[in-house]
Amino acid sequence: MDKGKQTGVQEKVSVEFESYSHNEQFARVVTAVFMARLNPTMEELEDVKTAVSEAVTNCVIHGYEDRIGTIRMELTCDQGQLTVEITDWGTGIGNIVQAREPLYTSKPSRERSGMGFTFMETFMDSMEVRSAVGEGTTVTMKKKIGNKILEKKVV
Amino acid sequence: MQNQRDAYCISESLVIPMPRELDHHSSTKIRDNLDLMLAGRGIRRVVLDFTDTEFMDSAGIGMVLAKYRRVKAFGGQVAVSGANDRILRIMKMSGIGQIISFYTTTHQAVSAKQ
Repeated sequence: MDKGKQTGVQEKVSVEFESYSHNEQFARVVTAVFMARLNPTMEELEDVKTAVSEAVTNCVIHGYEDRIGTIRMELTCDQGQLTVEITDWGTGIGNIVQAREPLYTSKPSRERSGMGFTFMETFMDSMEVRSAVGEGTTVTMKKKIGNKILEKKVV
Repeated sequence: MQNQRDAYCISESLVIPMPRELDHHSSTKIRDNLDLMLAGRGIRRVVLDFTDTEFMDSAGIGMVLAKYRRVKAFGGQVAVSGANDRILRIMKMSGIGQIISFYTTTHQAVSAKQ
């Protein structure tokens, strides 16, 4: 792999796609391809894919409910720091604190576990939610990639 | 996207093969099939077969919980078989390990005593 890519040139990719549920997989695949340049471990790759899947699913189910709208995913890597920002221009979240509570779901009649935000928090280093009712929601998640490899090199 | 194997019956168990990637999209496909299969058959146990599953997010947890509620209403049990380490970790994180039995293979799940 090109050394420059590993040691710190900031790179950014952004994609927009429609909120069809099959695009949950598309978002995971794009993320995995982008992450390859950071030499992630399998665990890091799976952690980020899970978090991305949760965020995009929220856009599909909650942001746009039964209509089709645009989801934007922006991936940035900067010195091994991966940032994933996922935006929809849908319903928005009235009470973010409540939405983030484990097991809370606004759609109990559907087969939802209420673990989406919990998984994003668990599998990423940080997660931030910005939302306005009627305007949409942006979730920003960060994770340091390649920690284990770097630690080995220092030793 | 991916070919889902059909559910099949072994004695009183219904084995439902899970898709390679279990997310909100693919879980909605499974739900429709299971409801048809449960109606009218003497099923006592539903085995969710994760042998081929490489990815699962919280939609998988929602799906398992929904199956559990439905099968319990019939007086039956739900078991998970063949799940890899990561999927097991995700399931245990969500607490469903307390209500569902885990088996290494589908054969073990089907032949376990109720």
